[in-house]
Amino acid sequence: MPSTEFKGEIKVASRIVDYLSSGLYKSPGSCLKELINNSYDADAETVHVLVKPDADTIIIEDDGAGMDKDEFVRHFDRVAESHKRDSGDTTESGRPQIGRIGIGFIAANEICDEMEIYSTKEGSTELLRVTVNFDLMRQDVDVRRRKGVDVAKADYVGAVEEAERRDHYTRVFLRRVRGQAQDMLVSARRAAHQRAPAASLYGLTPEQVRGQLANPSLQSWDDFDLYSQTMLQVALNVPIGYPDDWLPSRHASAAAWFTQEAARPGFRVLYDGTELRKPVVLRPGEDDQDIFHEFEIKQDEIQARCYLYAKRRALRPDQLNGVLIRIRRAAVGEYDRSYLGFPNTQERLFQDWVSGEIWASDELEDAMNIDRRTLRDAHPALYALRDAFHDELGQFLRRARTELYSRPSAKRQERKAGDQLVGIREVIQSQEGFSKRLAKELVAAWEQYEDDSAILRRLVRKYTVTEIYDMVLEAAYEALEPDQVQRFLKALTRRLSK
Amino acid sequence: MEEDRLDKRAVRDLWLNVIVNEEGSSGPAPLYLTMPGPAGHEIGLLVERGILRLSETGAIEDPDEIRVVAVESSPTAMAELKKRYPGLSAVDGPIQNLLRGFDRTRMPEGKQRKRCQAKIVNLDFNGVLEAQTHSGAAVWHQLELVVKLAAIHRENAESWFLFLTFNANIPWAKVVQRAAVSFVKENVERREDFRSGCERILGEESLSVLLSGSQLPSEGDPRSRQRFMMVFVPKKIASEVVSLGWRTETLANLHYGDDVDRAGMVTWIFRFEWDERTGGTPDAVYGEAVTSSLANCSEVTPTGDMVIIE
Repeated sequence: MPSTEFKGEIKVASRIVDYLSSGLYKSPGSCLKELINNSYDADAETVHVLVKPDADTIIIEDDGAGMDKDEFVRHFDRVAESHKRDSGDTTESGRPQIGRIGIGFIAANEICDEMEIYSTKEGSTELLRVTVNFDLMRQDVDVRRRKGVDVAKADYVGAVEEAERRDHYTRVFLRRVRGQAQDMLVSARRAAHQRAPAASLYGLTPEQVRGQLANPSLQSWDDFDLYSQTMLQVALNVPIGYPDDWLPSRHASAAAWFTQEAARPGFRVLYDGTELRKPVVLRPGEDDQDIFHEFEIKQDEIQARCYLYAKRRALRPDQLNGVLIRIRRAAVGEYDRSYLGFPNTQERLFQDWVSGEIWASDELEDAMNIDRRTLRDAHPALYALRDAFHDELGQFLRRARTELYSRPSAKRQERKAGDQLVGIREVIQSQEGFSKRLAKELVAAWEQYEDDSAILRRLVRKYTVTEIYDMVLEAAYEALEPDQVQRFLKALTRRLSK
Repeated sequence: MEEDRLDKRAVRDLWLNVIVNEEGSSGPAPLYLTMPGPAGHEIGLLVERGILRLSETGAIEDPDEIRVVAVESSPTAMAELKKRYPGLSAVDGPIQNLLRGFDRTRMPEGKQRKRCQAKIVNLDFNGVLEAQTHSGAAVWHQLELVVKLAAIHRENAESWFLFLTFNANIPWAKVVQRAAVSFVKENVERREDFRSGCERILGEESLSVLLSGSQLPSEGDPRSRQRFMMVFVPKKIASEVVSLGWRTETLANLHYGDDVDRAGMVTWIFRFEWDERTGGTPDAVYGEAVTSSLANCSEVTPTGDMVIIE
């Protein structure tokens, strides 16, 4: 083998193997986001993700710091169990690092059988080229055991070639992408079992994507094709900015910290040419009936900056309903509709109206499982966070009830009553035999609805036929002779039964 | 740069005219398979002519239709092309990988096969036509790829087009040279129209030297070697594909890029027509193909003008 060539095995601690073997990354989007987060950790400003038309080969290219052969071997030779980092683990530009590069690359094995990496560092004339073959993973674990508790996950062959001194990038090619993953990544259908094509976000500008997400008729991301669903999943997770006007403008000032913090790293992801923004578009409520609450949590065990947003009626698309945790700008899994285990009998209706985010401090990272999707319940940081968050959430839900439900409900009732009164006036005033004095007296009985809630309730109430008979008969016997009552009743029945 | 040269642009314009004319006729197969180079100038021209439409973000519209397939020999070049045109169907690796090598018995399957069934295939090789002997017979590698493409297109039995370009240098071993000369001589001696065409293209003197000596013009005479390529390649292709049912029509037979001490490039536009007569009278079909091969020979000048060789 020429001196510039090298080879080896990627080994992982056996506990990681357990996680990796159990469908750690539940979708192709999860794998892509890991690789994108790797690029972020390499101080990249721009990442290109190229998937269409058929995901035969997927390309992820960044303009980050790159890596050389020594770094590659160091990252991959043994992917350790713990995901802890040394304190103050930041990139050269000061970004708190999100992931561990070895895990990120190994995630790729969930969707492909081979990965090729090209990378070069600025100022270096060396280009690292490595082909990682995941076929080894398909062998029995006993064949793959190495010394201690290590297990081989893949083997690699690499070489060092020449590069331009000024270049710095990492380019990853995912090859031999599995059929199912290909389908999920590029399908024009909404779901694997469906035939008809669905709406797509492919080829749209960020503004157009925002428009699609803001569309009141969009109930769920599932309304888009699988390609777009993956795109949105990726965009939800990686450290990119919010779209312009991501929430009603009257809340923009209150949300400014989040808007600025998300945009601060200046990290861009172009997904088949579309620049991604967080797929968080919080639609305004009808008649501006929405509330935004921004708050901080400051406990010994954890700090966090949070917001909660609610609008009247169920929040859509439904993927945004719940609370999303971010650590170091990257999302932990998806929106949690349980709100970290908030009692679901408490203000149940209004829990469906809410979307929120928790930007948590590093202490919470220790509670995170290696899949970066779930947290360990009993961890002190999560415990403290949950308590403080639930307090705020409880108050917020009560506020939502008052401001978005009770008050508007009362106003709606009053409007209905007003409409009924207009109708009653018209009916009475149109009776030719009625004197003006009588008409006025009859209408006056209802006009106090604004001050008398009992009258208001009766104005808008709906009556059954039985109840009409009861009331009318009572009134008829009071005012009419018995034979007149019978004639009246027959006439009424004829009208009601038509 | 090659891309900016007027003569190359003139050739590319010819290609584009064919592509525009055939735009609606490719059916479910791709319209165009090409090797555009990392800068993708050709792709840009397809966009200009409306063959490919771009969204506001610059991504290919309707990527799932796969109208154009780009083949790039290097992954880096492929990545550059796809960044420039997201959604473009691109395959990395040399064209022979897509066709599963030069061996005629190994054919691509599935998606790869479908890509090879493009209505128009552009094999724009920067390098020379490579050749070697195999079991005593001369084999021209890139022409084997052409034969494989012809075999793949048999499934549809519909006409298709080939753009083929080589550097006109001939680095063949002597035994290969003799085989090529012998092949050309065969028709010179049998067909008067072919002979007169060769006289026109090669010049009487060069033809005479060729016929008497069984060898190519010397390396010190690149222009004559270039002209030999113009005679040899279309005839060779015609002979190889007639047994597959195809009659070739040479729509253009050109050379360009000449310099005092450089052979320049040779390029052709072929139409492959399905011809039922190949079953009964293949010689007649082959004869027609050979006649057409020298009917449209021209030089493309450095200013991009086409001058018929007379």
